[in-house]
Amino acid sequence: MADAMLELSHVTMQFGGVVAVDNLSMHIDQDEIVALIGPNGAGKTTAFNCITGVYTPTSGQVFYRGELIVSNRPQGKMKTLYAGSHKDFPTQVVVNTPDRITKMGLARTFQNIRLFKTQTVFENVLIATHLHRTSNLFTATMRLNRQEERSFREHAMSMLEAVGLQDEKDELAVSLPYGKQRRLEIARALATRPRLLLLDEPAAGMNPQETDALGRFIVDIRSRFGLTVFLIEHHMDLVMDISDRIYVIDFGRQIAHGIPEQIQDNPDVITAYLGVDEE
Amino acid sequence: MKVFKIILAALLVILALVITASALTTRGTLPTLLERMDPENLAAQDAAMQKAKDRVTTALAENNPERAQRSLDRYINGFSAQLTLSGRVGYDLFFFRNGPSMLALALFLVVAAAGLIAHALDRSGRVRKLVLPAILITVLYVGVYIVENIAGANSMLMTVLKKGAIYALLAVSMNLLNGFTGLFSLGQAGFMLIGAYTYAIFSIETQSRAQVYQYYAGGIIQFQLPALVSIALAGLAAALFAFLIGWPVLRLKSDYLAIATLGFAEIIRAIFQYDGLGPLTNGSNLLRKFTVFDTALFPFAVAGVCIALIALLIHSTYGRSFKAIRDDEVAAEAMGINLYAHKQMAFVISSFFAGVGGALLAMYQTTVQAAAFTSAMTYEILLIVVIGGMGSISGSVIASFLFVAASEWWLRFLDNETMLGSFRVPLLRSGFRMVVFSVVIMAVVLFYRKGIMGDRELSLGRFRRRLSHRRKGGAQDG
Ligand SMILES: Nc1ncnc2c1ncn2[C@@H]1O[C@H](COP(=O)(O)OP(=O)(O)OP(=O)(O)O)[C@@H](O)[C@H]1O
Ligand SMILES: [Mg+2]
Repeated sequence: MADAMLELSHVTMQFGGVVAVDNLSMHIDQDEIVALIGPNGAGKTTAFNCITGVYTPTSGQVFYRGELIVSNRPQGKMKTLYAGSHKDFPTQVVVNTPDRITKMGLARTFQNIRLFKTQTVFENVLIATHLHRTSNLFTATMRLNRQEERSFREHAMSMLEAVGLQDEKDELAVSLPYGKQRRLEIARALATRPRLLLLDEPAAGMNPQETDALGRFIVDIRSRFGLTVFLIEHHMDLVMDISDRIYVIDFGRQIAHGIPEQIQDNPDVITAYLGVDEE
Repeated sequence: MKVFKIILAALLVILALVITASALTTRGTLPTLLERMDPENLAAQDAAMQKAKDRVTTALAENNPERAQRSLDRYINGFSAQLTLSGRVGYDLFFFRNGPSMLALALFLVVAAAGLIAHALDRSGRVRKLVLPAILITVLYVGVYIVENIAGANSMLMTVLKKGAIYALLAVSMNLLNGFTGLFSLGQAGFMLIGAYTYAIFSIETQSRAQVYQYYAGGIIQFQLPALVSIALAGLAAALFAFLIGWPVLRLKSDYLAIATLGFAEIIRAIFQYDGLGPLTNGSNLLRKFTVFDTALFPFAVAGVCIALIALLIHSTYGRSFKAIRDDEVAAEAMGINLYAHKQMAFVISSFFAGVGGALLAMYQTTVQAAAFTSAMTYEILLIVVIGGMGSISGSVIASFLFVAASEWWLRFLDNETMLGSFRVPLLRSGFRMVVFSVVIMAVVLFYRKGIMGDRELSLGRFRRRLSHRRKGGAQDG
């Protein structure tokens, strides 16, 4: 079997006494759309942050296409504080900063939209093309990189067209309505030419029509750009509609895993969500 | 219309050629002209004219009008030859005296002609974008040159222009870091000090070193480098210190840079006055007798080139990365931007230009003393950056000139005790100027938070669009 696109092995993230992610293991294969769901505060965003290098997990490993990109064991104070359920720690320590992980081919969007506020829609996407930069400080300053600059601009423009924001390209990013800001974040992530796209609640704040359109859009870009998609989402219709598989976590722990039909009827999942506003 | 522009351009070029030819040849032709003005020559001519005049008298007495006419013509010819000669000497002397000015004028005419031709032949509008700034820059430099010749190099106006240009560079370099990259640094005075000292140390005249370093046996350096080389070294020295500070500090997530740079500026000021370094820094004594500039064109040229480089950098892919970091570090990092590398880059480059600015300031002041580079100097420049607008190069430049003009010139009266009759005007005394400044910055921060320019730039395109009330979308180039 070929290596999985992404594999998490016993990932645990502990903040002080709070174990936000506990012994999470999962795998995502190429071309899949996999959803990560769970009630508010379950640790979904924290799991994303561990994968993308924003946090270094307290313990556990992450593999991307077979390559070990994150690995850690409890260190310093965490040796005594450690409260995760998995006690068999990896020996290696591998830390990668988010920019390096993005360069490897993982791109993400943010739950609380993080656009470059003073810049236009076009510039927001343009910045994301820069990780393929070959010009150095001198050639860039002296404008000896016109060809590269042109290809960046064309690529950024085609990403804007892919999400249908070409007409708003000169507007300030923050002046866009909510739904379009989310789409802009996706365009920006796509501009880094990822293989694996991580979307943190892309439909948050969208109405049912927009959510529906977003679902079709995600399926569409998967085939168009040859993507694998890892998705956090609270809109259950969207999740059930487009996901190949679903992981459910609660209090940082996996409570269920399977195809949408299995998850829909899973009693544990229903219990976890009971009384929890599903939006 | 097109033909008219080209004819006008041709006329301008011809005029420029005439001016250039005159300016370049007068030195050679003047001696021969003056030779012809030698007393013997003139006396011979005077004698000939006297003779011609006598002949007219004789001819009149002999009642011979034709001969009288011929003699009179000869008399007038001699007279106008002398007039022409003195006229040519006057003309040549004018060009001899104002040669450089006239060459500048000719250069300006040629640039204007080139602009006209480009304007006439340009269809795409691309040339227009390049030509207009070129003309403006030429106008600026020729203007400075001519003003300097008219107002005198030591006039208040020139003082303001010189210091303003240097402060513009210092403010833009600080803006690169604080305004464009979002890193708050308070070390400007420290980097300026390093730049000023490096420049001074390497460019003191060799024969004056014994005198300057009189307490340190002439110092350890016994050579003098050319001004431009010393300026480059000044920038490099400041950049090196920035690299060493940034190396540990910029890796930290939280922003300790302000504290680290402030501490650095204070420490470096003390270190440079330390007696043990005397052979290099002259301890707490002045450094002097180094190369200075005698025309405002020098600081204008150096600062202009540096500011242009910073502007080019800011509008390059690297500049866009800096702005992304300023807007959102987490998102920037997620877009593949290496935070440490880019912060370090911005910090080192900013400090390089602060060092160059420090060197220019040393040249302007003609002496350097470490004690003068206090944190008040940093705040002064920070004030300019804030007034001009964080993230606006043109704002920093405009604010620099306004600030220097106000502090050196317009607000000077605030520091002078003034009597109106027997009434002593309250508040006016030494130091009150700084009080007014503080009030100004508070007012700016409270009511005018974005400064003069916000984060926009002065742009010809925008200006023209506004003039013609024509709004066209699709300008994607910064
Ligand atoms: N940097 C941090 N420091 C301390 N605690 C944190 C930190 N980040 C997250 N947590 C805690 O970890 C837990 C999981 O948070 P997380 O944001 O991952 O939840 P989530 O599943 O994304 O929830 P939501 O659906 O609301 O987005 C929460 O209890 C949160 O308070
Ligand atoms: Mg979340």
